[in-house]
Amino acid sequence: MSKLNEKKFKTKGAIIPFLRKLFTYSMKYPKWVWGFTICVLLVAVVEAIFPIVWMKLLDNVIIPAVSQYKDAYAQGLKPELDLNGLWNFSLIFFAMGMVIAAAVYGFIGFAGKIQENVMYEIRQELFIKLQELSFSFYDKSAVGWLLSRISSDTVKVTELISWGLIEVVWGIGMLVFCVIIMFAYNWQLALIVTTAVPVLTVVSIKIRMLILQYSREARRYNSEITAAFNEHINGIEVNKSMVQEERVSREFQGLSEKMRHSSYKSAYYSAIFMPLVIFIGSVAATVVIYFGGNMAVALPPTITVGTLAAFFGYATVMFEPVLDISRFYAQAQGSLSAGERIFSLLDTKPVIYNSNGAKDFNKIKGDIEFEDITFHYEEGKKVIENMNLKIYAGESIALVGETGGGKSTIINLICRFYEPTGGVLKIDGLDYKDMTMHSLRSQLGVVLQTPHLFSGTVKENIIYGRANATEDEITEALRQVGAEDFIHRLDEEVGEGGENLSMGEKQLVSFARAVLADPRIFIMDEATSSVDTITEANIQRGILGIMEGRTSIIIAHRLSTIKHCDRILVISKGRIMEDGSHYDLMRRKGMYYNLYTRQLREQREKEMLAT
Amino acid sequence: MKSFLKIFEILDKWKYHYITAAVLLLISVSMRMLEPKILQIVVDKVIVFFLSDGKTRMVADDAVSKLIYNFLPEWKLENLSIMLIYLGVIFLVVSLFRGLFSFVSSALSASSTEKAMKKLRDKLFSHIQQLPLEYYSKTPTGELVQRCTGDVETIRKFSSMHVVEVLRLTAVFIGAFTMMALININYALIAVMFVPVIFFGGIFFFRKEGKIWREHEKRQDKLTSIVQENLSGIRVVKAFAKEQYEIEKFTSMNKEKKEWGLKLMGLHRIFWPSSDFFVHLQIAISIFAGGYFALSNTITVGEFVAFYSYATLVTWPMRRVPQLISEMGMTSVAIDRLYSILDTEEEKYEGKINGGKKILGNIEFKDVYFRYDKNDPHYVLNGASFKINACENIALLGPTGSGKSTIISLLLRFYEPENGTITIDGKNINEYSKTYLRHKFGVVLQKPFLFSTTLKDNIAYVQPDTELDEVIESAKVANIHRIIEEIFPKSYETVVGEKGVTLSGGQKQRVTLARTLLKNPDILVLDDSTSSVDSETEFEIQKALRGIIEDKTTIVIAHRITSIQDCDRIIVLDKGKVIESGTHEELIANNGFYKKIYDIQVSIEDEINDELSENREASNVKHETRDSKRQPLNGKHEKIK
Repeated sequence: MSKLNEKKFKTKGAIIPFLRKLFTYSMKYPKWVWGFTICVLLVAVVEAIFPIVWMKLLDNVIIPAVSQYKDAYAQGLKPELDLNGLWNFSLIFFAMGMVIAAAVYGFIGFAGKIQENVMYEIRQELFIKLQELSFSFYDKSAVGWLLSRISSDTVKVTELISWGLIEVVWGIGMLVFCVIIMFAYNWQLALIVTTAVPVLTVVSIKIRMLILQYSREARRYNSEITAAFNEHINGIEVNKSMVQEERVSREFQGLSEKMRHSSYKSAYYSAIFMPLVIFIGSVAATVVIYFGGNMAVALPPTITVGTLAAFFGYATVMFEPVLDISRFYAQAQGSLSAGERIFSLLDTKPVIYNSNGAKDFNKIKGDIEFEDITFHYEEGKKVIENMNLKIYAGESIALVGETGGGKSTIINLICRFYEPTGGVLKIDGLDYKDMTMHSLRSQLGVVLQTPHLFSGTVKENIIYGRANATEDEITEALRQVGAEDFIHRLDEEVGEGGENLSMGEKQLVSFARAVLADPRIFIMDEATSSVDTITEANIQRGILGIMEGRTSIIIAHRLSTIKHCDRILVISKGRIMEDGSHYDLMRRKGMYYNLYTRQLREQREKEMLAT
Repeated sequence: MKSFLKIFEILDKWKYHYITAAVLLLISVSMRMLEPKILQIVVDKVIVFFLSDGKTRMVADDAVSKLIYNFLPEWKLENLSIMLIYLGVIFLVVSLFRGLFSFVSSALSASSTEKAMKKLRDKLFSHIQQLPLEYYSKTPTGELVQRCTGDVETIRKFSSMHVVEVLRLTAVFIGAFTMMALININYALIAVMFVPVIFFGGIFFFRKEGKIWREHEKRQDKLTSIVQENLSGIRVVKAFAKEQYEIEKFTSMNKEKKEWGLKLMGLHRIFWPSSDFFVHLQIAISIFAGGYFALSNTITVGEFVAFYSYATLVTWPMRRVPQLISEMGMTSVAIDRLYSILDTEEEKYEGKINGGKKILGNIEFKDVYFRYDKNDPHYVLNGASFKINACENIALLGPTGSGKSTIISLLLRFYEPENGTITIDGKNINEYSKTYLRHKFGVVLQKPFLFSTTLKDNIAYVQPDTELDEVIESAKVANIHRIIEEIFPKSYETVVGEKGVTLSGGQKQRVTLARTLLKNPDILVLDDSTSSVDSETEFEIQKALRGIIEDKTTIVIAHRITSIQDCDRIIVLDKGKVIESGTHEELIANNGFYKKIYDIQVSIEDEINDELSENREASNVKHETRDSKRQPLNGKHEKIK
């Protein structure tokens, strides 16, 4: 699905609106942006006038003094050394160095702050957006894909408007100042040097784009290589049992060869890039030597030796600003897709949201009514059609039936993770679309099939739904779900995603978490299928307690778990096929009876074989 | 240091190219050193010569100038233009060669590095494929993947960037210093006065920066893991309506990351301007000193001009080198880690019996002992002995941990038994080459693993060029053909894992079954391979398999007694030993473990009947009270039905 999403971003020429959008973020800090611009321009100005100061030093101090010295020497006098001029110029050089150092201090600070703050902000917006988006969005988006929006794409994009921007501002500033200064001194030589600029620009952008193209390609192959390693390490048993080690290694060589080729191409163009650009500068410098030299020795000389040296200097540094500008251009191109992915995610609208004037539920009694409800996840594939169902407050309901029959969908609809595509779902007689999501969900207790814990202690996980629970209440909740063991393990770290606990332990904690929240409606989706039999027996005891005094809806793979529910609904192909208590349905000897007997047998067998 | 030298081993036969690249780089840098010299000649000699109407004759005063003089025309007044053109051309030629050498050098070092890296990757990949399974049980997959990708990348950067850059910068430094020393040694020394400060300051800084950077990365990683945890648990978050809480959690970490980012920036903000300061101080001092020498006629104006260029060249590189050095630190670790993988011994595949006729499948385990860990006192196979005859259909039954899957692993020679012998067709299993042996076995593993390619390629894994017809044939037997055609968008061309295409456990198992069947093995092994398939489908599969397995030795590990009743013989294992063996009827008669399991069926029926009759009374009462409430609902139900 990630690839589908990306496709629509591949629009060219979107770089200007992208940059504009990005700049609205940095323009939230106008002071920093101005400070940054001024500092960078200051550096550019000082570096641009460097050759001129150098020229003045040669022309005004060194050359006259040297010729004076020579004259005096020729006349047999002992020449006097006047260091004043030199001293002053050295101070000027030093002062310029100080200005640069100060400006560098300034722009690193401003750029750094802009980057960190904009990154902070974009990440904040992304995360908040992700919390708003509905289940249907998450069904289509892989976690890893979303993760790299927040982690790597934001870095790429913010680097562009901080460090990337330094280069482009410096480059443009340097270029403009140099050209102005050169024309002020000698327009003929200035023209020679300036002519090189467009040539440099075209060449550098052309090559940069080639480098970008190949390095992108290399990056793509690199991730394919990572995937190949990953896959064939995980699938090693298959490879070994099928004796495919050599074949897959051979196939891998094709991939690594592609990687080598594009890596090399990218390095090749990088290698040609600098020498070529510098050579173009040298051509300009050569022309300067020729014409400048002629001018310097003409009678009378039209330029001084210092001017010649200065222009030679300009000719050889002119490629630097061009280089930086082209680097920015390539960087902007390179992060364009990252930026578009970020912005399109920010523009995604949640499918389920609170309607205008939505009211809060009071304390929910627990009547749930499906009125003619139709639902589909995908257009044209109806999962539920015209379902009518009434669940009374305080009832315990079990949903059974084959996978894909629509059990989980019923739960998803009740939780308003999805909204019905047709019909009305009422809770306590009110259409829940007119109510707030928060007031509904904060009164639900949901235990999902695969328990998810957050890193932190056991306790932190249990009080997830009710942060202000007392020690006693926690203990009570644990007792209720048959997880007394945890009473003394509350401070244990569960690890990332609860990795330090076994599946069964995780499920127990998630049970306690749901119970502690004292929900009005309790929902369990195949929650015991990942638990071993002993744990299940424990939970079994607890469930009866949980169901007391609240509406509860349970999907259980193991039917023994739901035997005691008030009503059992057999769901198949989006319809309610049987409805009644365990005994009613067993007597009916219909679908439920078959399911139950077969399962019991299998379970017993398994139990025997597992000991 | 020793590990750094291993880079030459990694560079393999391309190391000569690499060394050539280094030499070319040095030549290119030397060329660079000539450029200021040309300007010096222009200023000192040419301009002075022509301005003084040829009165001042020019002598070359150092070796480099002498060299350049050789290419110049005669010093005559009317030669001004020619002189300048010559100088221009020399400059251009020098610059051209400098560029050319630099280009060839970079291209050469890149090509040798990339070739060596390709070889390294290939070697790693095939080496890893050949490592014994034992190695995998000890090394986490993620780490292994990280070694093969991240560490290779570190080495690549080291070879293609770091070494080259350090060499270049050092050469520039030495070259510029030498050129200065040629003009005036005192001046040269003054011009590098602050270089140690800049260099060691940099080393010091990057050591400190590294620490802060790692802290910063830690925060970054933490932030990422918060997001990851949130996203993978988003359903829980929504179910508990805890979005706000999650946002707060994220915000506080996001802030902390920002703080560390700013801290890191603060460090750079001190370092770069200070090093700028020293660089500029150094340059100002060089200018002053140079000016002084020029004024006191120790050096010429041209030399001063050249000097200034060299002085700049000498200072800037020293800013870059410390950063490179700190980045290079990772390389030796990376190299060591990769060698620890490469030095692990590969599995030995050879064996006396290596091809030829069909394996019939007379298998015998004689007193086989085995454990995965030599320090574990508990044996997984604890003197297991049994016999399987050719063409028999055998079922292995037993509690978890009784050694069923281990038997399969030993048969495939993934591991060797510690004691006892295993023979196939009367020959010790050690005599078979592993390649041959595994070719003849067809195993469907307990955990179905699919590769992220098309379904067709998954099924035709052993022979990618298999015709689709044959693929469909096996898919039909595995009862997955219809599902592939109906459910998956691109049928057999559907790529597993792409665009949210996921297969249920049962579907995966059936695809892997089809994969094994297509191999047409002599001995078929099904390791609990239909556990996630529902009973009806399992029955269908068995029916379809019957024709295929008739003349093949088949070993089935199962947990449902119903699915193995028709096997020729059932071997019951417990704690690594065979406790019972025989046909279904024999085992029932034996009244042992097997019988107990079998009896469940009967006992359940009785149980349910008891339960129903017992509860009839109670449930009737309970339901009457509710019936009034339920009336409207029942009415609606009728309509639906």
